[in-house]
Amino acid sequence: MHAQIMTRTALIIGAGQAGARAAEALRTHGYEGRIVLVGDERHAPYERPPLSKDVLIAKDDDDCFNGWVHAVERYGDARIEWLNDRVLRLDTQSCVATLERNGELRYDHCILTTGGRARQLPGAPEGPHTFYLRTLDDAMRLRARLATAQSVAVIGAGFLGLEFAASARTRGLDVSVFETASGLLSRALPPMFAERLRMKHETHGVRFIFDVKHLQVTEHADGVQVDATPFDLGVIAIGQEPNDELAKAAGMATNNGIVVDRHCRTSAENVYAAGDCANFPYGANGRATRLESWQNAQEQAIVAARNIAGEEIAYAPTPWFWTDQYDWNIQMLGLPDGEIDQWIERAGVDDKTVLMGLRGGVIAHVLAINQGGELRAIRRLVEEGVAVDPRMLADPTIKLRQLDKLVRSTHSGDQGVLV
Amino acid sequence: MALKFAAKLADLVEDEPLGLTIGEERIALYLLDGEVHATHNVCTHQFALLSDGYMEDGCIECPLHQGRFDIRTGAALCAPVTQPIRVYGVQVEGGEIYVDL
Repeated sequence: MHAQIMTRTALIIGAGQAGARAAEALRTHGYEGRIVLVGDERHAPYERPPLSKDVLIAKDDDDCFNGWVHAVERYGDARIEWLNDRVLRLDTQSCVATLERNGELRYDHCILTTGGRARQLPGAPEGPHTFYLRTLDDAMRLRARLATAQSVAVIGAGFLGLEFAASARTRGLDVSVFETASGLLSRALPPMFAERLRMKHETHGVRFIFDVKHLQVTEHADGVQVDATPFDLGVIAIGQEPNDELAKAAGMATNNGIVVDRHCRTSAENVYAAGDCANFPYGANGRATRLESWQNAQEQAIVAARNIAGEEIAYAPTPWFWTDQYDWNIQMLGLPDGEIDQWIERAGVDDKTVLMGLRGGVIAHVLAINQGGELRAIRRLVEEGVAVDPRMLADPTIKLRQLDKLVRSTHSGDQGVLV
Repeated sequence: MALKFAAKLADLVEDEPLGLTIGEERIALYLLDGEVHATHNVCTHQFALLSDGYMEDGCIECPLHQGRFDIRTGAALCAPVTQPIRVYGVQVEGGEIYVDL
Protein backbone atom coordinates (compact mmCIF):
# COMPACT_ATOMS: atom_id res chain seq x y z
CA MET A 1 0.00 0.00 0.00
CA HIS A 2 1.28 3.44 -0.84
CA ALA A 3 2.50 5.31 2.24
CA GLN A 4 0.50 8.39 1.44
CA ILE A 5 -2.78 6.53 1.57
CA MET A 6 -2.03 5.74 5.20
CA THR A 7 -1.47 9.36 6.13
CA ARG A 8 -4.39 11.20 7.63
CA THR A 9 -5.01 14.85 6.88
CA ALA A 10 -6.47 17.44 9.21
CA LEU A 11 -7.74 20.49 7.41
CA ILE A 12 -8.23 23.66 9.40
CA ILE A 13 -10.23 26.34 7.63
CA GLY A 14 -9.57 29.81 8.98
CA ALA A 15 -6.06 30.87 10.04
CA GLY A 16 -6.76 33.22 12.92
CA GLN A 17 -5.98 32.64 16.58
CA ALA A 18 -8.35 29.67 16.82
CA GLY A 19 -7.03 28.02 13.65
CA ALA A 20 -3.40 28.42 14.65
CA ARG A 21 -4.06 27.13 18.17
CA ALA A 22 -5.98 24.16 16.80
CA ALA A 23 -3.12 23.30 14.48
CA GLU A 24 -0.55 23.49 17.25
CA ALA A 25 -2.74 21.50 19.65
CA LEU A 26 -3.28 18.74 17.10
CA ARG A 27 0.47 18.31 16.82
CA THR A 28 1.28 18.57 20.51
CA HIS A 29 -1.48 16.09 21.33
CA GLY A 30 -0.12 13.48 19.02
CA TYR A 31 -1.82 13.93 15.67
CA GLU A 32 0.67 12.36 13.28
CA GLY A 33 -0.90 13.17 9.93
CA ARG A 34 -0.72 16.20 7.69
CA ILE A 35 -2.01 19.42 9.18
CA VAL A 36 -3.13 21.99 6.63
CA LEU A 37 -4.13 25.44 7.85
CA VAL A 38 -5.89 27.57 5.24
CA GLY A 39 -6.56 31.27 5.70
CA ASP A 40 -7.56 34.00 3.30
CA GLU A 41 -5.55 36.77 4.97
CA ARG A 42 -2.04 37.31 3.65
CA HIS A 43 -0.62 37.45 7.18
CA ALA A 44 0.43 34.55 9.34
CA PRO A 45 -2.09 33.85 12.12
CA TYR A 46 -2.36 36.64 14.65
CA GLU A 47 -4.39 37.70 17.68
CA ARG A 48 -6.85 40.53 17.26
CA PRO A 49 -6.92 42.28 20.65
CA PRO A 50 -4.02 44.63 19.76
CA LEU A 51 -5.78 45.87 16.60
CA SER A 52 -7.95 48.39 18.42
CA LYS A 53 -5.21 49.44 20.84
CA ASP A 54 -1.45 48.97 20.38
CA VAL A 55 -1.59 49.03 16.60
CA LEU A 56 -3.39 52.36 16.68
CA ILE A 57 -1.38 54.11 19.40
CA ALA A 58 2.18 52.77 19.04
CA LYS A 59 4.67 55.48 18.14
CA ASP A 60 6.66 53.56 15.53
CA ASP A 61 5.26 51.80 12.52
CA ASP A 62 7.95 49.14 12.84
CA ASP A 63 6.89 47.80 16.20
CA CYS A 64 3.22 48.66 16.26
CA PHE A 65 2.20 45.01 16.02
CA ASN A 66 3.50 41.91 17.77
CA GLY A 67 0.38 39.81 18.05
CA TRP A 68 1.53 36.80 16.04
CA VAL A 69 0.16 33.57 17.47
CA HIS A 70 3.37 31.66 16.73
CA ALA A 71 6.79 32.63 15.49
CA VAL A 72 6.72 31.80 11.80
CA GLU A 73 9.33 28.99 12.16
CA ARG A 74 6.93 27.20 14.46
CA TYR A 75 4.74 26.17 11.52
CA GLY A 76 7.63 24.46 9.75
CA ASP A 77 8.97 22.90 12.94
CA ALA A 78 5.56 21.43 13.78
CA ARG A 79 4.95 20.41 10.14
CA ILE A 80 1.93 22.67 9.86
CA GLU A 81 1.26 23.65 6.26
CA TRP A 82 -0.07 27.19 6.31
CA LEU A 83 -1.70 28.15 3.02
CA ASN A 84 -2.85 31.61 2.07
CA ASP A 85 -5.93 30.54 0.16
CA ARG A 86 -9.69 30.50 0.31
CA VAL A 87 -11.93 27.45 0.62
CA LEU A 88 -14.71 27.75 -1.91
CA ARG A 89 -16.65 24.57 -1.18
CA LEU A 90 -16.74 21.82 1.33
CA ASP A 91 -18.14 18.41 0.44
CA THR A 92 -18.65 16.64 3.73
CA GLN A 93 -19.84 13.42 2.01
CA SER A 94 -16.64 12.82 0.08
CA CYS A 95 -14.54 14.84 2.57
CA VAL A 96 -13.11 17.15 -0.05
CA ALA A 97 -12.49 20.89 0.17
CA THR A 98 -12.11 22.95 -2.96
CA LEU A 99 -9.56 25.74 -2.65
CA GLU A 100 -9.41 28.77 -4.88
CA ARG A 101 -5.75 28.37 -5.86
CA ASN A 102 -4.66 24.98 -4.56
CA GLY A 103 -7.41 22.82 -6.01
CA GLU A 104 -9.04 19.92 -4.18
CA LEU A 105 -7.90 18.66 -0.81
CA ARG A 106 -9.12 15.48 0.81
CA TYR A 107 -9.37 15.53 4.56
CA ASP A 108 -9.97 13.00 7.30
CA HIS A 109 -10.76 15.64 9.89
CA CYS A 110 -11.74 19.24 9.47
CA ILE A 111 -11.95 22.14 11.90
CA LEU A 112 -13.84 25.26 10.93
CA THR A 113 -12.28 28.30 12.58
CA THR A 114 -13.66 30.79 10.13
CA GLY A 115 -14.20 33.54 12.70
CA GLY A 116 -16.43 36.48 12.02
CA ARG A 117 -16.60 39.74 10.16
CA ALA A 118 -17.63 43.25 11.05
CA ARG A 119 -21.38 43.76 10.86
CA GLN A 120 -22.15 46.25 8.13
CA LEU A 121 -24.21 49.35 8.75
CA PRO A 122 -26.78 49.55 5.95
CA GLY A 123 -25.94 52.30 3.52
CA ALA A 124 -22.42 52.74 4.90
CA PRO A 125 -19.99 50.51 3.03
CA GLU A 126 -16.28 50.82 3.70
CA GLY A 127 -14.96 53.90 1.92
CA PRO A 128 -12.10 56.38 1.93
CA HIS A 129 -13.41 57.88 5.18
CA THR A 130 -15.60 55.03 6.46
CA PHE A 131 -13.80 52.28 8.34
CA TYR A 132 -14.56 48.89 9.79
CA LEU A 133 -12.09 47.17 12.07
CA ARG A 134 -11.55 43.44 11.98
CA THR A 135 -8.24 42.61 10.30
CA LEU A 136 -4.65 43.71 10.67
CA ASP A 137 -4.89 45.41 7.28
CA ASP A 138 -7.98 47.32 8.51
CA ALA A 139 -6.04 48.40 11.60
CA MET A 140 -2.97 49.51 9.65
CA ARG A 141 -5.12 51.52 7.27
CA LEU A 142 -6.86 53.14 10.22
CA ARG A 143 -3.53 53.81 11.92
CA ALA A 144 -2.31 55.70 8.87
CA ARG A 145 -5.54 57.69 8.71
CA LEU A 146 -5.39 58.65 12.41
CA ALA A 147 -2.05 60.35 11.81
CA THR A 148 -3.70 63.17 9.88
CA ALA A 149 -7.32 63.20 11.06
CA GLN A 150 -8.68 65.64 13.66
CA SER A 151 -12.10 64.25 14.39
CA VAL A 152 -13.74 60.84 14.33
CA ALA A 153 -17.26 59.53 14.72
CA VAL A 154 -17.44 56.11 16.33
CA ILE A 155 -20.61 54.20 15.57
CA GLY A 156 -21.40 51.76 18.35
CA ALA A 157 -20.51 51.88 22.06
CA GLY A 158 -19.57 48.21 22.40
CA PHE A 159 -16.16 46.94 23.48
CA LEU A 160 -14.55 47.48 20.09
CA GLY A 161 -16.02 50.96 19.63
CA LEU A 162 -14.95 52.01 23.13
CA GLU A 163 -11.44 50.61 22.77
CA PHE A 164 -11.10 52.45 19.50
CA ALA A 165 -12.48 55.64 21.08
CA ALA A 166 -9.88 55.40 23.87
CA SER A 167 -7.08 54.90 21.35
CA ALA A 168 -8.25 57.81 19.23
CA ARG A 169 -8.42 60.08 22.30
CA THR A 170 -4.95 58.90 23.31
CA ARG A 171 -3.81 60.11 19.88
CA GLY A 172 -5.49 63.45 20.49
CA LEU A 173 -8.42 63.21 18.09
CA ASP A 174 -11.81 64.68 18.79
CA VAL A 175 -14.04 61.66 19.47
CA SER A 176 -17.82 61.35 19.34
CA VAL A 177 -19.49 58.01 19.98
CA PHE A 178 -22.96 57.36 18.56
CA GLU A 179 -25.10 54.59 20.02
CA THR A 180 -28.68 53.50 19.46
CA ALA A 181 -29.10 52.22 23.05
CA SER A 182 -29.47 54.60 25.96
CA GLY A 183 -26.12 53.64 27.49
CA LEU A 184 -22.92 51.86 26.72
CA LEU A 185 -22.48 48.11 26.92
CA SER A 186 -25.93 47.71 28.39
CA ARG A 187 -26.05 43.98 27.72
CA ALA A 188 -22.56 43.20 29.01
CA LEU A 189 -22.27 45.33 32.13
CA PRO A 190 -24.57 46.20 35.02
CA PRO A 191 -25.71 49.85 34.78
CA MET A 192 -23.66 51.10 37.74
CA PHE A 193 -20.49 49.71 36.20
CA ALA A 194 -21.28 50.92 32.69
CA GLU A 195 -21.82 54.35 34.20
CA ARG A 196 -18.27 54.43 35.59
CA LEU A 197 -16.88 53.52 32.21
CA ARG A 198 -18.93 56.26 30.56
CA MET A 199 -17.55 58.77 33.06
CA LYS A 200 -14.03 57.51 32.44
CA HIS A 201 -14.46 58.21 28.73
CA GLU A 202 -16.08 61.58 29.32
CA THR A 203 -13.26 62.58 31.68
CA HIS A 204 -10.94 61.82 28.77
CA GLY A 205 -13.00 64.04 26.49
CA VAL A 206 -15.20 61.59 24.60
CA ARG A 207 -18.64 62.86 23.64
CA PHE A 208 -21.49 60.31 23.72
CA ILE A 209 -24.66 60.60 21.72
CA PHE A 210 -27.09 57.94 22.95
CA ASP A 211 -30.57 56.93 21.80
CA VAL A 212 -29.77 57.69 18.19
CA LYS A 213 -32.87 56.54 16.36
CA HIS A 214 -31.52 56.03 12.90
CA LEU A 215 -27.78 55.89 12.39
CA GLN A 216 -26.59 57.15 9.06
CA VAL A 217 -23.03 57.65 7.90
CA THR A 218 -22.65 59.58 4.67
CA GLU A 219 -19.37 59.85 2.79
CA HIS A 220 -18.27 63.21 1.42
CA ALA A 221 -15.20 64.21 -0.53
CA ASP A 222 -13.23 65.05 2.61
CA GLY A 223 -14.93 63.16 5.42
CA VAL A 224 -18.19 61.73 6.68
CA GLN A 225 -21.37 63.16 8.06
CA VAL A 226 -23.17 61.58 11.01
CA ASP A 227 -26.38 63.05 12.34
CA ALA A 228 -25.73 66.24 10.36
CA THR A 229 -22.29 66.68 11.99
CA PRO A 230 -19.14 66.47 9.84
CA PHE A 231 -16.15 64.33 10.89
CA ASP A 232 -12.87 63.49 9.22
CA LEU A 233 -13.67 59.82 9.44
CA GLY A 234 -16.21 57.36 10.74
CA VAL A 235 -15.43 54.04 12.41
CA ILE A 236 -18.28 51.59 12.49
CA ALA A 237 -18.20 49.03 15.30
CA ILE A 238 -21.71 47.63 15.60
CA GLY A 239 -20.82 44.03 16.23
CA GLN A 240 -19.66 40.93 14.53
CA GLU A 241 -21.30 38.32 12.31
CA PRO A 242 -20.12 34.73 12.24
CA ASN A 243 -18.61 33.37 9.04
CA ASP A 244 -20.88 30.35 8.77
CA GLU A 245 -21.75 30.48 5.07
CA LEU A 246 -19.30 27.78 4.00
CA ALA A 247 -20.76 25.41 6.59
CA LYS A 248 -24.30 26.31 5.65
CA ALA A 249 -23.64 25.75 1.96
CA ALA A 250 -22.17 22.35 2.88
CA GLY A 251 -25.46 21.44 4.56
CA MET A 252 -24.29 21.73 8.14
CA ALA A 253 -26.55 23.02 10.88
CA THR A 254 -26.06 26.75 11.40
CA ASN A 255 -27.89 29.21 13.60
CA ASN A 256 -26.05 32.38 14.47
CA GLY A 257 -22.86 30.47 13.78
CA ILE A 258 -21.97 26.87 13.13
CA VAL A 259 -23.86 24.67 15.55
CA VAL A 260 -21.61 22.34 17.53
CA ASP A 261 -22.10 19.99 20.45
CA ARG A 262 -20.14 20.05 23.70
CA HIS A 263 -17.29 18.25 21.96
CA CYS A 264 -17.09 20.92 19.24
CA ARG A 265 -18.54 18.54 16.63
CA THR A 266 -20.70 20.00 13.88
CA SER A 267 -23.59 18.12 12.32
CA ALA A 268 -21.22 16.77 9.64
CA GLU A 269 -19.11 13.75 10.40
CA ASN A 270 -15.49 14.48 11.32
CA VAL A 271 -16.05 18.23 11.00
CA TYR A 272 -15.54 20.40 14.08
CA ALA A 273 -15.87 24.12 14.67
CA ALA A 274 -14.40 26.49 17.25
CA GLY A 275 -13.95 30.14 18.09
CA ASP A 276 -16.04 33.14 17.03
CA CYS A 277 -17.87 31.12 14.36
CA ALA A 278 -19.09 28.32 16.65
CA ASN A 279 -22.40 28.22 18.47
CA PHE A 280 -22.10 25.76 21.35
CA PRO A 281 -24.24 24.55 24.27
CA TYR A 282 -23.20 26.51 27.35
CA GLY A 283 -23.78 25.76 30.99
CA ALA A 284 -25.92 23.18 32.72
CA ASN A 285 -28.96 23.93 30.56
CA GLY A 286 -26.94 23.92 27.32
CA ARG A 287 -28.06 27.32 26.14
CA ALA A 288 -26.92 28.00 22.54
CA THR A 289 -24.07 30.47 22.92
CA ARG A 290 -21.53 32.08 20.67
CA LEU A 291 -18.64 33.84 22.36
CA GLU A 292 -16.41 36.38 20.67
CA SER A 293 -13.35 36.39 22.87
CA TRP A 294 -9.66 35.64 23.05
CA GLN A 295 -10.29 32.89 25.60
CA ASN A 296 -12.93 31.19 23.48
CA ALA A 297 -10.78 31.29 20.34
CA GLN A 298 -7.96 29.78 22.33
CA GLU A 299 -9.62 27.13 24.44
CA GLN A 300 -12.41 25.89 22.22
CA ALA A 301 -9.94 25.38 19.38
CA ILE A 302 -7.68 23.34 21.64
CA VAL A 303 -10.60 21.19 22.82
CA ALA A 304 -11.65 20.52 19.20
CA ALA A 305 -8.08 19.54 18.31
CA ARG A 306 -7.66 17.26 21.30
CA ASN A 307 -10.90 15.50 20.50
CA ILE A 308 -9.65 14.85 16.97
CA ALA A 309 -6.38 13.60 18.43
CA GLY A 310 -8.30 10.95 20.31
CA GLU A 311 -9.49 12.48 23.56
CA GLU A 312 -13.08 12.96 24.66
CA ILE A 313 -13.27 16.40 26.26
CA ALA A 314 -16.30 18.60 26.71
CA TYR A 315 -15.86 22.33 26.27
CA ALA A 316 -17.24 23.94 29.43
CA PRO A 317 -15.68 27.37 29.80
CA THR A 318 -16.12 29.96 32.49
CA PRO A 319 -16.29 32.90 30.11
CA TRP A 320 -13.53 35.43 30.74
CA PHE A 321 -13.10 38.70 28.90
CA TRP A 322 -10.85 41.68 29.16
CA THR A 323 -10.82 45.10 27.61
CA ASP A 324 -8.06 47.71 27.85
CA GLN A 325 -9.21 51.34 27.72
CA TYR A 326 -6.90 54.19 28.74
CA ASP A 327 -5.15 53.00 31.91
CA TRP A 328 -7.98 50.63 32.81
CA ASN A 329 -7.77 46.90 32.33
CA ILE A 330 -11.32 45.68 32.84
CA GLN A 331 -11.89 41.98 33.31
CA MET A 332 -15.14 40.07 33.39
CA LEU A 333 -15.67 36.54 34.59
CA GLY A 334 -18.91 34.70 33.95
CA LEU A 335 -21.73 35.83 31.67
CA PRO A 336 -24.16 38.61 32.56
CA ASP A 337 -27.10 36.26 32.22
CA GLY A 338 -29.84 36.06 34.79
CA GLU A 339 -30.51 38.11 37.86
CA ILE A 340 -27.85 38.89 40.42
CA ASP A 341 -29.11 38.71 44.03
CA GLN A 342 -26.41 40.88 45.52
CA TRP A 343 -23.32 42.80 44.42
CA ILE A 344 -20.38 43.00 46.77
CA GLU A 345 -17.63 45.44 45.95
CA ARG A 346 -14.04 45.61 47.11
CA ALA A 347 -12.73 48.98 46.07
CA GLY A 348 -9.01 49.69 46.21
CA VAL A 349 -6.85 52.74 45.66
CA ASP A 350 -7.21 54.77 42.46
CA ASP A 351 -9.94 53.15 40.39
CA LYS A 352 -9.07 49.62 41.36
CA THR A 353 -12.06 47.51 42.19
CA VAL A 354 -13.53 44.04 42.24
CA LEU A 355 -17.28 43.62 42.00
CA MET A 356 -18.70 40.23 42.77
CA GLY A 357 -22.25 39.30 41.82
CA LEU A 358 -23.86 36.54 43.85
CA ARG A 359 -26.65 34.34 42.64
CA GLY A 360 -28.03 31.56 44.80
CA GLY A 361 -25.10 31.73 47.19
CA VAL A 362 -22.35 31.36 44.56
CA ILE A 363 -20.29 34.00 42.76
CA ALA A 364 -21.84 34.13 39.30
CA HIS A 365 -20.25 37.21 37.78
CA VAL A 366 -17.10 39.16 38.59
CA LEU A 367 -16.02 42.53 37.22
CA ALA A 368 -12.66 44.07 37.97
CA ILE A 369 -10.81 47.25 37.15
CA ASN A 370 -7.02 46.91 37.32
CA GLN A 371 -7.43 43.97 39.66
CA GLY A 372 -6.84 41.00 37.38
CA GLY A 373 -4.86 39.19 40.05
CA GLU A 374 -7.70 39.49 42.53
CA LEU A 375 -10.23 38.28 40.00
CA ARG A 376 -7.95 35.37 39.20
CA ALA A 377 -7.71 34.48 42.87
CA ILE A 378 -11.43 33.68 43.03
CA ARG A 379 -11.75 32.16 39.56
CA ARG A 380 -11.91 28.60 40.76
CA LEU A 381 -14.71 29.41 43.17
CA VAL A 382 -16.68 30.79 40.21
CA GLU A 383 -15.79 27.90 37.91
CA GLU A 384 -16.80 25.28 40.41
CA GLY A 385 -19.84 27.14 41.74
CA VAL A 386 -18.59 26.86 45.32
CA ALA A 387 -20.96 28.44 47.85
CA VAL A 388 -19.38 31.47 49.52
CA ASP A 389 -20.56 33.31 52.59
CA PRO A 390 -21.25 36.89 51.44
CA ARG A 391 -19.94 38.20 54.76
CA MET A 392 -16.53 36.74 53.91
CA LEU A 393 -16.59 38.47 50.53
CA ALA A 394 -17.40 41.77 52.18
CA ASP A 395 -14.88 41.42 55.00
CA PRO A 396 -11.86 43.58 54.17
CA THR A 397 -9.67 41.68 56.63
CA ILE A 398 -9.97 38.57 54.48
CA LYS A 399 -7.74 38.72 51.41
CA LEU A 400 -9.38 37.48 48.22
CA ARG A 401 -6.17 35.55 47.63
CA GLN A 402 -6.83 33.58 50.80
CA LEU A 403 -10.53 33.13 50.18
CA ASP A 404 -10.33 29.97 48.10
CA LYS A 405 -8.41 28.08 50.79
CA LEU A 406 -10.53 29.56 53.54
CA VAL A 407 -13.86 28.69 51.91
CA ARG A 408 -12.77 25.15 51.19
CA SER A 409 -11.48 24.57 54.70
CA THR A 410 -14.78 25.91 56.07
CA HIS A 411 -16.68 23.54 53.78
CA SER A 412 -14.62 20.53 54.76
CA GLY A 413 -15.22 21.55 58.38
CA ASP A 414 -18.96 21.49 57.71
CA GLN A 415 -18.66 17.99 56.34
CA GLY A 416 -16.77 16.96 59.45
CA VAL A 417 -19.68 18.14 61.56
CA LEU A 418 -22.17 16.25 59.40
CA VAL A 419 -20.22 13.03 59.69
CA MET B 1 26.34 42.29 38.77
CA ALA B 2 26.09 43.26 42.40
CA LEU B 3 24.02 42.20 45.35
CA LYS B 4 21.48 44.84 46.31
CA PHE B 5 19.27 44.87 49.36
CA ALA B 6 15.67 44.22 48.34
CA ALA B 7 13.47 43.50 51.36
CA LYS B 8 13.25 41.84 54.73
CA LEU B 9 12.41 38.17 54.60
CA ALA B 10 9.69 38.75 57.18
CA ASP B 11 7.85 41.00 54.68
CA LEU B 12 7.47 38.20 52.17
CA VAL B 13 4.47 35.88 52.39
CA GLU B 14 4.22 32.48 50.75
CA ASP B 15 2.33 32.67 47.42
CA GLU B 16 2.03 36.48 47.56
CA PRO B 17 4.44 38.27 45.23
CA LEU B 18 6.04 41.50 46.38
CA GLY B 19 6.86 44.25 43.89
CA LEU B 20 9.62 46.77 44.50
CA THR B 21 12.00 49.06 42.68
CA ILE B 22 15.75 48.81 43.21
CA GLY B 23 17.49 51.70 41.50
CA GLU B 24 15.79 51.70 38.11
CA GLU B 25 14.86 48.04 38.13
CA ARG B 26 11.38 46.78 38.84
CA ILE B 27 11.69 43.51 40.69
CA ALA B 28 9.18 40.98 41.94
CA LEU B 29 10.05 38.76 44.89
CA TYR B 30 8.38 35.46 45.64
CA LEU B 31 8.42 33.07 48.56
CA LEU B 32 8.01 29.61 47.12
CA ASP B 33 8.19 26.56 49.39
CA GLY B 34 10.28 28.57 51.81
CA GLU B 35 12.70 29.71 49.11
CA VAL B 36 13.03 33.27 47.82
CA HIS B 37 13.01 33.92 44.07
CA ALA B 38 13.21 37.13 42.07
CA THR B 39 12.09 38.04 38.55
CA HIS B 40 11.75 41.21 36.58
CA ASN B 41 8.36 42.65 37.49
CA VAL B 42 7.10 43.79 34.08
CA CYS B 43 5.32 41.27 31.88
CA THR B 44 7.04 40.59 28.54
CA HIS B 45 3.72 40.85 26.71
CA GLN B 46 2.37 44.25 27.71
CA PHE B 47 3.03 46.66 30.53
CA ALA B 48 1.75 45.10 33.72
CA LEU B 49 3.32 44.41 37.09
CA LEU B 50 3.55 40.71 37.77
CA SER B 51 3.45 41.46 41.49
CA ASP B 52 -0.21 42.43 40.95
CA GLY B 53 -0.76 39.01 39.45
CA TYR B 54 -1.66 35.63 40.81
CA MET B 55 0.87 33.16 42.15
CA GLU B 56 0.18 29.44 42.18
CA ASP B 57 2.10 26.19 41.76
CA GLY B 58 5.44 27.92 41.26
CA CYS B 59 4.07 30.18 38.54
CA ILE B 60 3.22 33.84 38.36
CA GLU B 61 0.26 34.80 36.23
CA CYS B 62 0.10 38.28 34.73
CA PRO B 63 -2.88 40.31 35.99
CA LEU B 64 -3.64 41.72 32.54
CA HIS B 65 -4.11 38.71 30.31
CA GLN B 66 -3.25 35.68 32.46
CA GLY B 67 -0.01 34.84 30.66
CA ARG B 68 2.05 32.61 32.95
CA PHE B 69 5.76 32.40 33.85
CA ASP B 70 7.74 29.81 35.79
CA ILE B 71 9.04 31.72 38.80
CA ARG B 72 12.20 29.59 39.11
CA THR B 73 13.29 29.67 35.46
CA GLY B 74 11.40 32.62 33.99
CA ALA B 75 10.05 30.42 31.17
CA ALA B 76 6.92 31.67 29.40
CA LEU B 77 4.36 28.92 29.95
CA CYS B 78 1.19 29.89 28.17
CA ALA B 79 -0.34 32.34 25.72
CA PRO B 80 -0.38 35.22 25.31
CA VAL B 81 3.16 35.43 26.67
CA THR B 82 5.93 34.00 24.52
CA GLN B 83 9.08 35.71 25.81
CA PRO B 84 10.57 34.53 29.11
CA ILE B 85 10.82 36.85 32.07
CA ARG B 86 14.27 37.67 33.44
CA VAL B 87 15.17 35.93 36.69
CA TYR B 88 17.75 37.16 39.21
CA GLY B 89 20.02 35.50 41.68
CA VAL B 90 18.92 35.88 45.30
CA GLN B 91 20.79 35.64 48.61
CA VAL B 92 19.19 35.68 52.02
CA GLU B 93 21.40 36.72 54.92
CA GLY B 94 20.36 37.52 58.44
CA GLY B 95 16.70 37.81 57.50
CA GLU B 96 17.47 40.20 54.62
CA ILE B 97 16.94 39.49 50.94
CA TYR B 98 19.59 40.57 48.44
CA VAL B 99 19.05 40.45 44.66
CA ASP B 100 21.90 40.12 42.19
CA LEU B 101 21.40 42.96 39.72
